[in-house]
Amino acid sequence: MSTDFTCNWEWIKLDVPHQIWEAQTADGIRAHTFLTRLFHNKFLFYPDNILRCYLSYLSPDFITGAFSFIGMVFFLAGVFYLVFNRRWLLLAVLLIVPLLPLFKIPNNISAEAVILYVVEGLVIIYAVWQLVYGIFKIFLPRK
Amino acid sequence: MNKTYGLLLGLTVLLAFILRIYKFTVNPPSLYWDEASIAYNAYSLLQTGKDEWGIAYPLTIKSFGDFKLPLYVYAVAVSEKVFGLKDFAVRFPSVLAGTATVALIFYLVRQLFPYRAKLALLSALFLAVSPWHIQFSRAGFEANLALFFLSMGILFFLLAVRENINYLFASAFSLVLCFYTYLSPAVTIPLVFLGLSMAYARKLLAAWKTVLVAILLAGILLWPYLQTYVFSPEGGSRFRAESVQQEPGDLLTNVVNNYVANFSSDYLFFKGDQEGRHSVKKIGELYIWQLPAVLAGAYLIFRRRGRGGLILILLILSAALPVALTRVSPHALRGLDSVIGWQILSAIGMVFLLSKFPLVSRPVFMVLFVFAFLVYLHIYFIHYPKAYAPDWQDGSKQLVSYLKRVQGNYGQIFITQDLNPVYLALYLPYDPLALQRSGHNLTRFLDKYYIVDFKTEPTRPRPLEKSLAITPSWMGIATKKELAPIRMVNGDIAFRVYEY
Repeated sequence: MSTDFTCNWEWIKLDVPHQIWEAQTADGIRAHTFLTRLFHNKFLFYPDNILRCYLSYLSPDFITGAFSFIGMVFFLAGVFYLVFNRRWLLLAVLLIVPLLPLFKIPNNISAEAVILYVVEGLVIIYAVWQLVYGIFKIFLPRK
Repeated sequence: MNKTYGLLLGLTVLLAFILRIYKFTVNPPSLYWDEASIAYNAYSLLQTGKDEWGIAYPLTIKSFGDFKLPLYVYAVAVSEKVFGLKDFAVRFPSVLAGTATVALIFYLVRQLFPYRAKLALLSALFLAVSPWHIQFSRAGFEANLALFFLSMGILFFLLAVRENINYLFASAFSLVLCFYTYLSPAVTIPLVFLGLSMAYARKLLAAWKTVLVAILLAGILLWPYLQTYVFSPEGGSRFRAESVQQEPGDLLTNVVNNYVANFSSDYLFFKGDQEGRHSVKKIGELYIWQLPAVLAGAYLIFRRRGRGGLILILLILSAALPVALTRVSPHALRGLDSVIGWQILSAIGMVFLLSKFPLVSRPVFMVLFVFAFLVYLHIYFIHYPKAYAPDWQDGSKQLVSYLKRVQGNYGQIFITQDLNPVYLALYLPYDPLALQRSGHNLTRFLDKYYIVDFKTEPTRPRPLEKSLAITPSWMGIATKKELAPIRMVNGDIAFRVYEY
């Protein structure tokens, strides 16, 4: 499991000005100022980068790196079952935990990692439980 | 299909065509060397009936140490017959295939999800404006033509099992053409059609004689392909060179990581393929607004577990396999077959979101759709040709055009190895017959042109005549007279020119 949470707010704050500069420069000096400002501004670049970093902690490649390919499949199944069974609390927690490495809360990588991986692990366990329960249900007498 | 849907489909296809053909000969800025090779081989076939190596109507085209599948080259030959030896002719078949795929996806969705005309229309619209699909439809990529044949194969298969079993022959023929166009579908097709066959097993078994004849027919048509690409050592050369086995580390781990990389959020929604020819690199292969739609679509498919939805998922999952088995991942070109799956999936989700939350989602969707599309167009038409001109070997065509103009003034012209000789062949152009007769001996054939690596000053065969030296942009020769350099479309120097 990686604790290399480099896609975070600190990095975004450093990189976004460069990204905007690069984009505005690519427009060229003869570009229409209105278009340059419309397409390359901090109101677009910050949300884009925040969303990118946020999703990187839920992305299949990140989950595979942490829990293996099988773990990733169960994670996706777990998310499906959370929505299907309306387990909104766990789903809400799952959606909140990527914010910890993103905004460096509590600014301790180990703590961020533990919380993130424990919650993602719980989703996997939930999927396994659903699977076992589904199989077990086949053998239960119908009421 | 009522008149309104017909009209809207017509407009969508028109939009797709405009997006694919508008300035497509100058953006992407130049023909990259695979396109140049395709163009010259097509020209050679048209003039002599043989490829540049003198092989008559080949099933495999030798190019840059590997072997290309032939169908796109033949399509370009037809295009060159109509339009002449121009950049336009090389890319036009891809534009046509891309536009036709947009129309096909409408009918495909109507077969996968009957009575869902709105969904079909939205899928076609999403494909029409897809950065992923536009990227490969505007240049001479074989994969784009293969995607067209794959879509047609699936559509005819569905028509066969739903309407008339004889469509199976059309499906088989389309798939055979797909095999002859690009390598990746060779991995995708068997898996997708295994799934389709299982989904419609009862109908296929009921018409087993027709199925058997179609399979036999496809087998016969595929036999030369199998002989060339499966049973011969030459055919596998490209695969071996690009195989995941060439990557250091554990094979299984590499395959899994390569596979999963095709589903990473960074690749799909934010950065895209990091090869300059494969994407604009500043936005994802899908638009960000498609993210909730993709999630909703996937959820609905797994909740309903309908045949159409599961086929869609199978297409997306199996299209990532060719990428997993090769070296570079994610790879938008090798994984192109999944683009139709992603667009339909997001259309399913979007239809659901639009109907479930009409007050919020409709205006939000409209604004995001239009704005993201404008951002993409801005990046594609303003940033892309400037930033990624070198990825398209820009400068090569300009150099050869310059040489063509001034070659009469010089006794010998020494050219850096950075210029691929295929550009000389294409834009001077070489007489294909003479090249074949020379045994493809470029050195002898080139006459006054000499490809050198400039470690030392080249020996001049005709020392009394003026010479020209074309060096890479980073190389300067202080002792020679420098002429105006050859520039790319972004103004950067591609080659330096010296006279002595």
